[in-house]
Amino acid sequence: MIVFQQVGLRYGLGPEVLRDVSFALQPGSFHFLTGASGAGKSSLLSLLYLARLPSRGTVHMFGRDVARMARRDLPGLRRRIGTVFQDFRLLDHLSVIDNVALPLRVQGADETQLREHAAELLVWVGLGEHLDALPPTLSGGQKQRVAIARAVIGRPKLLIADEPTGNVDDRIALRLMRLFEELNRLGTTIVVATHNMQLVRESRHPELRLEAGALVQIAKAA
Amino acid sequence: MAGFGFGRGSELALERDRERRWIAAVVAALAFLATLALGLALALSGTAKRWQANFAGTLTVELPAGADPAPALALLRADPAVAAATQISRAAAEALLSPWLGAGNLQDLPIPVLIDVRLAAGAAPNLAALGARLEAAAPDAAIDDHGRWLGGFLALARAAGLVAAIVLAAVGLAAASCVAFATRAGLAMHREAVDLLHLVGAPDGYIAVQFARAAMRLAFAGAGLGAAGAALVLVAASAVASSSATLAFPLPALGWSDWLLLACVPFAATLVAAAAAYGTVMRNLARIL
Ligand SMILES: Nc1ncnc2c1ncn2[C@@H]1O[C@H](COP(=O)(O)OP(=O)(O)O)[C@@H](O)[C@H]1O
Ligand SMILES: [Mg+2]
Repeated sequence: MIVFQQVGLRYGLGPEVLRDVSFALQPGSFHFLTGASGAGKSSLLSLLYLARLPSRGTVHMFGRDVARMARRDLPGLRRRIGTVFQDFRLLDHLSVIDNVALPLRVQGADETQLREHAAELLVWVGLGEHLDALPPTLSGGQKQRVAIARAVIGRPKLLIADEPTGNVDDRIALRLMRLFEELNRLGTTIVVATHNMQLVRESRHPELRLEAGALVQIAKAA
Repeated sequence: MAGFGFGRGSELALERDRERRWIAAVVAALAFLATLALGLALALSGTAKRWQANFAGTLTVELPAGADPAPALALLRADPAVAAATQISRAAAEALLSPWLGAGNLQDLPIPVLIDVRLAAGAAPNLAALGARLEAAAPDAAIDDHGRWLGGFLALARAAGLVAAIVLAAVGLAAASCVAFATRAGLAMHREAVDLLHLVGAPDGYIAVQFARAAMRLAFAGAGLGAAGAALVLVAASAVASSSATLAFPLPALGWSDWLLLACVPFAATLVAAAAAYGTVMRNLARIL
């Protein structure tokens, strides 16, 4: 479903922050993306959620070479991907429910339906009382749940989370993992970047490890 | 797929940006200029058309002061191209001249003998030949088909129309450039939100429409004000002109269709702004992923 071949990425004229990265993700798989801070995890994810194109090599998403795609086909592809950004990227002047509804609204979905759906999801992540709150009034953990609800509202085939456990305590981190497991069981392909190695060790899912921009191993936990 | 994404999206909250309100002021000034130029050109062209209609199919034959009009009248009335030929009485001639010269100064003036000629419908007589025959019957007779004078005025009206068209084009271009500039600034200012919209699957048009709407709001407010100001100036100018007795110039009055055209200026400005904003966003977004 997703294939990276000899992918290199550099920012501007800087050095390559990803070098010769090759891997494939099967539909319905669950991977951790690990590596020290600055190893290139966020950069790799940004290729996955189609924020940028590789400087080198090829990226195939859902069977299409992203570098050869027509611009008008990008939105459709991006709608199959849900992303929980490390910094959440909520729009501060929009209510929680409007933030969550965004991916459906940009598709021109029916307004009543999308509000209903967004409200349901917010109840599911425990924010049923905060539909009309503005993000700046929420705690970090609450913002993260809004970001998760927004990432899954479009029923993405691929769910990407960039260090979702970075800013929350262990109890919430565990709850989050259970949530991702559940989505994975429903068929969603999942990639979670983390440097919480305990989390990775306790899980049965394979790991993609980046070291200074190179993918050094694809290991299956015992 | 909702490829264009028209309508509901307002995530960028562009109406809150105070940074781009200057657009309304600039568009107001430009719309003022455009409306004024268009109004003047329309007034001149309206006047020219009216005079042309008044003078179409008429000639004036002028004989030296004191000449006997009878031979000339006889010759003219015998011509098949002439429907009617009547001498303009001295009183009528004085009335025609008094706006220029002042009533009461005309008693001693050698006023030429004037013959008003109405041509038969559709007739286009050879004026040179007619002039030669008149000259033989009445020495020093001159034919005035008003063409030279009217031609000068028509040329003036056409030139005014051309100038107005150039002003409109320049003003439209200036407005479009301002909107494009402001839109680029807005895109840069909202880059993060724009990126997010893209990443959750918004097509470029969804984003461009928000900028177009914001530009339309500003442009309509500005252009409405500017055009209204220009309309006031036009009304005031025509009021001053009609109250001043010294003006022997037919009033450049605007008809209702002219006013209707002038009322289109704010809408045209709004469309220009929308197109400029939309195009700018689409072009600029095409450069990012
Ligand atoms: N937008 C950017 N522009 C320039 N350099 C960047 C940018 N984002 C990341 N980098 C650089 O790329 C390298 C990898 O960063 P990143 O992908 O964020 O790693 P990680 O997420 O593993 O911490 C770092 O050296 C970082 O400084
Ligand atoms: Mg990172």
